[in-house]
Amino acid sequence: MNWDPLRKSHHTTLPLLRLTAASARQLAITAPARSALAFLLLSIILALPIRARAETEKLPRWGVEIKSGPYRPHASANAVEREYFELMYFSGEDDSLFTGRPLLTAIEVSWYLSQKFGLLGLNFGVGHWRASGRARVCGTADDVQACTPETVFQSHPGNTPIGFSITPLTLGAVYRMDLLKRTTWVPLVPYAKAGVDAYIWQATAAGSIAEGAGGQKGRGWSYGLHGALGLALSLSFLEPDMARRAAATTGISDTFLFIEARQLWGTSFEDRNRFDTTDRWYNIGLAMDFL
Amino acid sequence: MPKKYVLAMWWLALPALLLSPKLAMAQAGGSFDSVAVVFSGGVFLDARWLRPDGSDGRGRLDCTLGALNCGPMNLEACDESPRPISVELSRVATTSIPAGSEMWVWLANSSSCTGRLADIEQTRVVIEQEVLDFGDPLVDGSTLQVLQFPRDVPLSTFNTDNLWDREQACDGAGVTGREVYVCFGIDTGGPFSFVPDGSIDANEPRAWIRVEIDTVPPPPPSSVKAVGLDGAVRVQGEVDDAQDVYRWVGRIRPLVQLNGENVDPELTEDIPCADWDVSHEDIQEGVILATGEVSSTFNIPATNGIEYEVCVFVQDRAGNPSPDGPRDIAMPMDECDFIECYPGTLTTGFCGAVPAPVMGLWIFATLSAAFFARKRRKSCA
Repeated sequence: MNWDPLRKSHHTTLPLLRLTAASARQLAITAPARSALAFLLLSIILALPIRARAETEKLPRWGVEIKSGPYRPHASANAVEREYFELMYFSGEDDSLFTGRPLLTAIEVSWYLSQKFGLLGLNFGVGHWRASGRARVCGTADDVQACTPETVFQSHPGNTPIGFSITPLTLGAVYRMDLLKRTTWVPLVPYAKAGVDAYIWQATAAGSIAEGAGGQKGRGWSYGLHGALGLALSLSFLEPDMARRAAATTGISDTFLFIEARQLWGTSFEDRNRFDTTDRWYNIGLAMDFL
Repeated sequence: MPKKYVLAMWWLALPALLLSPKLAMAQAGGSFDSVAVVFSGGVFLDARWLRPDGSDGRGRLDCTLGALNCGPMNLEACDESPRPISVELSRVATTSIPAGSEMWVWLANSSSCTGRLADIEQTRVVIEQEVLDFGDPLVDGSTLQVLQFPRDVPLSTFNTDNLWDREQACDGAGVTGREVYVCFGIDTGGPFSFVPDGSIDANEPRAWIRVEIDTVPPPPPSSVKAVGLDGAVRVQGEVDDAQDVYRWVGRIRPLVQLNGENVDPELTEDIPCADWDVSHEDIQEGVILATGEVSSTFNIPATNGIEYEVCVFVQDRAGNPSPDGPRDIAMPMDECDFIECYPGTLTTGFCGAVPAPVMGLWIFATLSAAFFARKRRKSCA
């Protein structure tokens, strides 16, 4: 066991101080204020009880997480098209947990390529989201008219069930700042992610792909970027002995509960003819790291 | 194959899999291993089914129940005249059948086809015993000979009516899921004597064919609900017991006002919908295989703006139709889905729509991951 607290805290303190100083300069904080901020941060870190880490403790190589949270795509930069999307899928009965925002659920897998200053690696994920509604009927019960893009806003719900699903595929980088967890007894791991996304969407009617005039099929894809910040709570502190046994027998390095805020920029790099999947997605989930 | 290559293959295949056309989902159905007639080589003797072969337009008897060309022993067969049966018996080359052997054909409940002939006489005997004299084709010991049955057994009258008790199956309570074995046995005598001893033993030539008889229809649907969609009628039916249900059949016909002139009787006859003429241009049908659930939902193509009378029944594997479920009425109407009425321009489809920069980024990321993983392994080693 390595009982040198100063040496251990060195791994945590210096990077944090450098980051703090750079941020302070960028934010144009005055020199005396920067010094005060650095002193405060140093005091907090040194005051934390230092956890002795066994020399044989292994660091995780990969992880998997499952998460879920309310989501609703922006649909379009055009207000009429956005209103049309809401009319189709969010104007009727809504039994979703978050009104007007069905849950987007996703699974992500991460590979940690570097474990020196936290965990840095690549991750990819896949998710699924679905909204449902009813096809629209124009005219009256005695005189049904064919709807047009103009008359559809005066329509009423019909009988045919319709659905809209999105399958996001993500690819990006992840950084987990687990130095705090490694060197102290604080079981928190803040992290950040960024990457690219592809969204496969599909519109259905009566269980089949919807089809428009001229044979246009109701499916396509969009793409964009994402950035996320999150905070994970390591569950090992609840049962440390069990956690060590799990690591030794099953290869599970740690288990986390986490919350995340993810900004999705799904405008297909400003292609206005593609479906816009932009949204700010807040989610919670469970993660596991493996040796 | 090294793990890294397997992972790389999945990584590269993932976008192709997700961008490919939707995976076809097979309709769940019941077991398909039930047959109307099956043959067995038997012991020292082979039986091959010849007729009926479906050429009479009434479906094959040697078929898989549930198949479209199957004409099993079912309720429909009750209304038809008996069909002649032909079975070809072949002697296995090494089998010796001495002159004077006796051949029996009888019905049994199992495929063992053994027993005392005196006992067998108590059951339903298809034909009388036939004495095979030396010189009969089956007796020739040098080559494989075939006995055409019933051609070579002139005293036989063998048809489908020999396979069941018509009165019991068709006029009474009916027969459900009953297996009948038509046994062919040759009494050659014992191993030490070649005089027929009045029993078919395990070491004597015998063969069998199995016939399944089912004249009991499944129960009718207990509830039927019909809703008009865009260009279709959606039917939802329920049964109290789905055990004998193999297929749901829904039929619709325009609801015609009876006080109108020139009313087509095909559209107004008050008859079970199993008897509707589905070849009529205005009568549509929808069929779905049962999933084992007590309820089923399926669509029937229809014309918008027409009010339809909806009728649903179920069928078992032998094709027996149930009585009709409750009738309902529905009118499909023109409806507008997301794509049809989109108030703008929306890029759809996948083919040719992958921007080069994005695909390049995907390939770059894949290669980078492989590079870093390889570098990491080298450093660990």
